[in-house]
Amino acid sequence: MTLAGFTCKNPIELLTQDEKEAIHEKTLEILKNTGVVFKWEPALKVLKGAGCNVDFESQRVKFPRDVVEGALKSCPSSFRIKARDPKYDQEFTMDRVYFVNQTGPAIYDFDTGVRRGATVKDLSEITRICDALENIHGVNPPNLGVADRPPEVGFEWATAAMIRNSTKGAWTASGVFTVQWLIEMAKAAGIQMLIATTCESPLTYPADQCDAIMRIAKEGWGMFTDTGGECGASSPATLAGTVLQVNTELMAGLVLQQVVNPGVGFLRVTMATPMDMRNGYYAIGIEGYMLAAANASMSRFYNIPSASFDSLTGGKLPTDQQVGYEKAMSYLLLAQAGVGYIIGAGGIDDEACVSIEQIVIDNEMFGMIGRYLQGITVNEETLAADIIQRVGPIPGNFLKEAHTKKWWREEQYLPTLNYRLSYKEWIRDGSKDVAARARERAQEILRIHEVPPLPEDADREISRILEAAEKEKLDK
Amino acid sequence: MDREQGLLKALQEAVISGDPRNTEQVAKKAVKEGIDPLLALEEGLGKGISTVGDCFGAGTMFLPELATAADAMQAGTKIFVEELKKSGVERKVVGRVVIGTAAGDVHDIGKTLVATMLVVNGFEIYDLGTDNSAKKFVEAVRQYQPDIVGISALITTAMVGQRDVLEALAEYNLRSKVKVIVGGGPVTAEWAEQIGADGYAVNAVEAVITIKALMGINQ
Ligand code: B12
Repeated sequence: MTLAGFTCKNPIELLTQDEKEAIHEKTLEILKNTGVVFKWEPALKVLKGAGCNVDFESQRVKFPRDVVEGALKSCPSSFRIKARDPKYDQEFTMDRVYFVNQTGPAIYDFDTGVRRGATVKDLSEITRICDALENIHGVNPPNLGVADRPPEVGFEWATAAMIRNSTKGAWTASGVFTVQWLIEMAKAAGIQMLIATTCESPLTYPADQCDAIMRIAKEGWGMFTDTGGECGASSPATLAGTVLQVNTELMAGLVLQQVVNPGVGFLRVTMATPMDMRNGYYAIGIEGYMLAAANASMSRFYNIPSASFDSLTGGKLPTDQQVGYEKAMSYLLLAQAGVGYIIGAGGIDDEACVSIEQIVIDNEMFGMIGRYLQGITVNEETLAADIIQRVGPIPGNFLKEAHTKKWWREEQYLPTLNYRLSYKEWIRDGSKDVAARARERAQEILRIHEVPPLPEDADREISRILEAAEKEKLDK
Repeated sequence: MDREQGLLKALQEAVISGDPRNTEQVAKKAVKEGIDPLLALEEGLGKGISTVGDCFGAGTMFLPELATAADAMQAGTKIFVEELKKSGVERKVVGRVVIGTAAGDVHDIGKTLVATMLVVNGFEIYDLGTDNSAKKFVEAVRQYQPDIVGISALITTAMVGQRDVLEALAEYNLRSKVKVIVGGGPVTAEWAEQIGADGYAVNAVEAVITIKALMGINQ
């Protein structure tokens, strides 16, 4: 069975081999001399058992070189995450490229253009739209809070809405001591989930995230570990320094995971971006995209797949050019750099909002990038030297050639949202911009696209888990 | 007089250059030379930091300058406050603020920025850092007796922690003694109202304005 997703055969490298080796050596030096804090006793214990130097009082762990090398050796270069529909299983390898949607604390209301919190119904609908779009290869809860449920159980409800409304490969954030409920729900649905665990820069893993790493590792599921690093605030102002810090933090997380369960897959994820020194917000733009590309370079150095949250835009509306050009630059660069899992569809305003129109627009961008990744096929037949000589010079043309009939469809990606007709026809068709056309497409999808429901007992079990989580958290 | 002017200028410059060690030394020297501590605080350190604040607002200085100047300001302030204590004079601060991130939340960049802006505006800050239980806020209020409590939350699950702090303050009969302001990505004015907070601000500059308004300070 061919799986969904693209392939990047010749990734561009932002770092030379010498630079990667230097970063690796410095990583080992930091891990050995300064180490990383894990604010979770059980993590400290297993790391000590594995030969790390652990100071239980300061919760600081220092890593001897051989422990790190052992983890690198046991970590596989590919792993699979089981989806509801096997054709959407996600296979993380050294050359797969997946595009998935982004999450945020609010949505841009489809009908009114007002920003608001998402309800369970919104999350279900948005997931259904992602399920229908051919170039969105996996799904993520479009919001992590849910406006019509208690905030304590927002992650659980959002994750349940995702599982129920798509058969594609799923990922979600672990939250704060929430991961056990998420794992239970995935098991009820008979799937695995990529669950994000996060390092707090610089050099610290919070208690809840250590707990999540250990639980996911014990399940034997491949894991997503990400680290931020806001250059100039929580990591060095230099891009090189941030690449080094990200590398060090990911390596520490990898060791914990491999110590708990050797041989389980690991996804090296970054969301590092500089800080805008004028106001403290993310300085979203090319530097963050470069950091994601550099992390992909380092990941190839280790033969471990990579991912990124860095395809951010600061633009606020799906009609804003800033959204379009930032996303185009970022998606294309990341795909060219071989980032294996690119998160971003639908995201606007940093990570603060999700727009349905934007999901549909991004799907089209992904299609074009998928075409780019296929590259140019060069052989006797595609070179068409014989045909050029037979048809040319003018007045010959290629329109009626059998070669044209056969090949144009292979060679061109056919966008369905882009408008390519004349200005006069555009006026005739209602003068709609791309966001308006995307909205119509989304409405159409909601009308016709159905997602097979979960088996009844699985659905019931998920409801039971939600109730149990709610009871435990609200009674506290 | 000239000598005093010279010392004040040196204090201003020390703050503007953002070097805490140097500011401390200049402050010690000024004390030795008999400067009036209140004058040094207001016309020396205070003027320096407000210059930095103005330049930040005008876009000619940036967060690294602002943050180091705030540190320098605090280092110098300590020296003069000790002098004031010796002479029994009460120093008037604009206000005291306890600030921290709610339980279960480790996001601290925005909170720290708010704290820095408050320092720049002459407030005394007690920064509790990240992941603070309601109990920790209660203890800090008892210990520091602030005018204002600021609670940051960046994840929706941690917003509940803001409500818990308000409830705990009420439980320990401290609610009427402080004004509470909340903020952070998902927090809104409606949420602030719903949980009974006194104020909400969308960013660090607004936080200063709102806090001053809550304290009845004319801007
Ligand atoms: C950087 C970041 C991180 C870093 C934090 C680093 C650090 N030291 O702070 C790391 C990587 C550690 C991280 C971790 C996680 N994160 Co995070 N993170 C972000 C991100 C990208 C930026 C936050 C930020 O610093 N903004 C810049 C500052 C300047 O802005 P600000 O915080 O809003 O502050 C301003 C105002 O809000 C206001 N303000 C702030 N505090 C206060 C307080 C008062 C009193 C007042 C008046 C005003 C005020 O003034 C500030 C200055 O102008 C946001 C997305 C986003 N764009 O907001 C996600 C985000 C907040 N994170 C999110 C999540 C889910 C997580 C995790 C739970 C992920 C996980 N593994 O499950 C973990 C949390 C673990 C934990 N225990 O807390 C979600 C929350 C979603 C939700 N609905 O709850 C967000 C929204 C991303 C998303 N789209 O999903 N994260």
